[in-house]
Amino acid sequence: MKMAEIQRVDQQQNIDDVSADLIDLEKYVEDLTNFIPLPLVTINPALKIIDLNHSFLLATEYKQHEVLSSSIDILFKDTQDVKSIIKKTDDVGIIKNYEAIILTKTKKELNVSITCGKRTDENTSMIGYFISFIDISDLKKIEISLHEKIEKLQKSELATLNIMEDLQNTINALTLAESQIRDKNKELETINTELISAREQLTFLNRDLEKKVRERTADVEKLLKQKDEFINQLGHDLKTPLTPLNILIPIVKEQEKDPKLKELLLVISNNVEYMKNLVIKTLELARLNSPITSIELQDIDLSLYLSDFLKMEQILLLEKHVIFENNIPKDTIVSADPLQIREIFTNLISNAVKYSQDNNVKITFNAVRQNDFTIVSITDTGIGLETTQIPYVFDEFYKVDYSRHDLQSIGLGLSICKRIVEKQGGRIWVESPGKDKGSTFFFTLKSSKKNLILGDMYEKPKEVERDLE
Amino acid sequence: MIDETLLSIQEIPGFVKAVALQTDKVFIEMQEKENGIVLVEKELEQMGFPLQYDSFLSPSTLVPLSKRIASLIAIRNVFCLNDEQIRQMGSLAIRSSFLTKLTLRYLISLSKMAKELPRHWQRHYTVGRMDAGELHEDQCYFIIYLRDFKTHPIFCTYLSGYIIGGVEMIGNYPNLTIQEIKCQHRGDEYHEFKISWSSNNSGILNENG
Repeated sequence: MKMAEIQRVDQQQNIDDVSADLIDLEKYVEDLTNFIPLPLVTINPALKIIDLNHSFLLATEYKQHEVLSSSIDILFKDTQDVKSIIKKTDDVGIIKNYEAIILTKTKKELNVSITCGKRTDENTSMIGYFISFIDISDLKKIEISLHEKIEKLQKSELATLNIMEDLQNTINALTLAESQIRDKNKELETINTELISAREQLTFLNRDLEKKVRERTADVEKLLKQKDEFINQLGHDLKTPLTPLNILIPIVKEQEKDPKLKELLLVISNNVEYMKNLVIKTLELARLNSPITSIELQDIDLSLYLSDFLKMEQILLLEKHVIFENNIPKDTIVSADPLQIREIFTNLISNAVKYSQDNNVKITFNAVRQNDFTIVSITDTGIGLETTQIPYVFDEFYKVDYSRHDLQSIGLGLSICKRIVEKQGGRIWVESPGKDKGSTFFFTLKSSKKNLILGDMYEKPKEVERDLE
Repeated sequence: MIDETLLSIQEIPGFVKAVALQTDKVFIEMQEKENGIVLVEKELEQMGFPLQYDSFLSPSTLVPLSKRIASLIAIRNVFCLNDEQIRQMGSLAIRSSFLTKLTLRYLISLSKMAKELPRHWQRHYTVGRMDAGELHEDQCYFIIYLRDFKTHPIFCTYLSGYIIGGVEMIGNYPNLTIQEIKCQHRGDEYHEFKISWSSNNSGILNENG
């Protein structure tokens, strides 16, 4: 009995020793498990958490009692991951690097790489799973960042390729353009060569032409001189026989008693006078038309000049009752040949008086400076002009119908006026409101630099302004 | 606070492993009450069961069962716990007990649990016997007996939570409930606990792996 008691005590001691060893071993395992920095959790076949380590609590922010006996599902954002992990683990025994998202207690999402292995007992029966994971959140962020950078790089690469393609197209276009430019340059070189050749020819021709022009000009001047000499000679030759006729016929007419012969002598006398005037005017016109005829310009105070002229004309035209009105402003200085100006005034006054229906004629003179010219106007209350007659009144030997048979009218007065004005660099024109409504003749003379009159001194006809523009 | 019940506690025989008091300490610390441990230790001293929770270095150290019961009462008094909270305390104990975890790592079904119950009880207590009764998973209930263990009614409440916590760790049993249908404190010969659950879940996913 005593022996049995001793054996029982020994057995109990052995059991206690083994138990203590087991507890120590379990403590060692737990310490080791808690030492591992890898989060580790043990689940049973019902997927309930039955054990975990310190790293797991740190990673998930849970306390032990909060997750023990809970389903592993609470850790996963997507519970499908749990089913997938378990199925794969059941199939192959252990899976590694399964990526999933784990939720911490504070619902923070952790990207983790999971390792899961089956647990078996001594009979190799499945009794649960070990699950561990590595937090790869930072790696994921880097991976996402890398993906974004790769996408950007790919886009950049694509954009670069597009740019290169555009560049290639541009280079091709430039090459083509360069080729075309080379061709054009060749064409231009050919044209240039031709132009140089043509220019040389033109230079040669010009020289020849200039020479010919000089020769022709000399010929023309010579011919003109000969023509002037001829006309002068002809005029002199024509006037010479007319002079005795012009003197003798009035004497013969005075002595003749027969009224019929007397009347015939008057006709002859008038025709001789007409012939004489015709010769004089023709010579005057020829002289003006000659390029070698020079004019002598000098400053004329037009208002004073006209006043002096009118005094003389007034005496000659006493029986005509002509009224002159000189509205030309004082100190209107023009640069003109005084003799020729006198010719203009004489012709225009003569026309106005000659073609008046009665003896009461009013002739008004005006002048206004316009830029470098002075416009002189002479307005009469004569028979006026029809619109169809105006374009021809300055033509040589043109006569309006009512003066066609008038032996006092030669048809050269206005032509001479035109030549005088143009010879002095001006122009002449006429305006008339119509037949029996009078006329206004305008002509321009160069203003003298001494002329102090500026601006309008009378109301100009609008047509004048337009013409001058 | 000392009453006649306490006097009877003094008479409770037997011992329990110190791990039980260690789980009590975990529960006290979870109550987020300042100086919770000190307050409970003071309560215990007043009850006549002086106890220092930190004095138990090894979970295998044997402690008088009376002190373990006194600890439960002191905790209830200090934190004004109701029965449900005491059951939660039991449920937490099984999750924080080092020895229990050791066992549960290999318990993968109620049938294994039923088989393991007597050994598990003996691993913790020197008195009383726990064994499994009927296990009808198809009818969704499981009977557990505790015999020769008359201590204090508070322990029955605590043990109910402990059992529920254990079953919860083994499998998925919806609407899990426990009822002490027999109790020595009510005059029965033994304690009988009936664990029930709803039938719409198979409980264990994979018993054999």
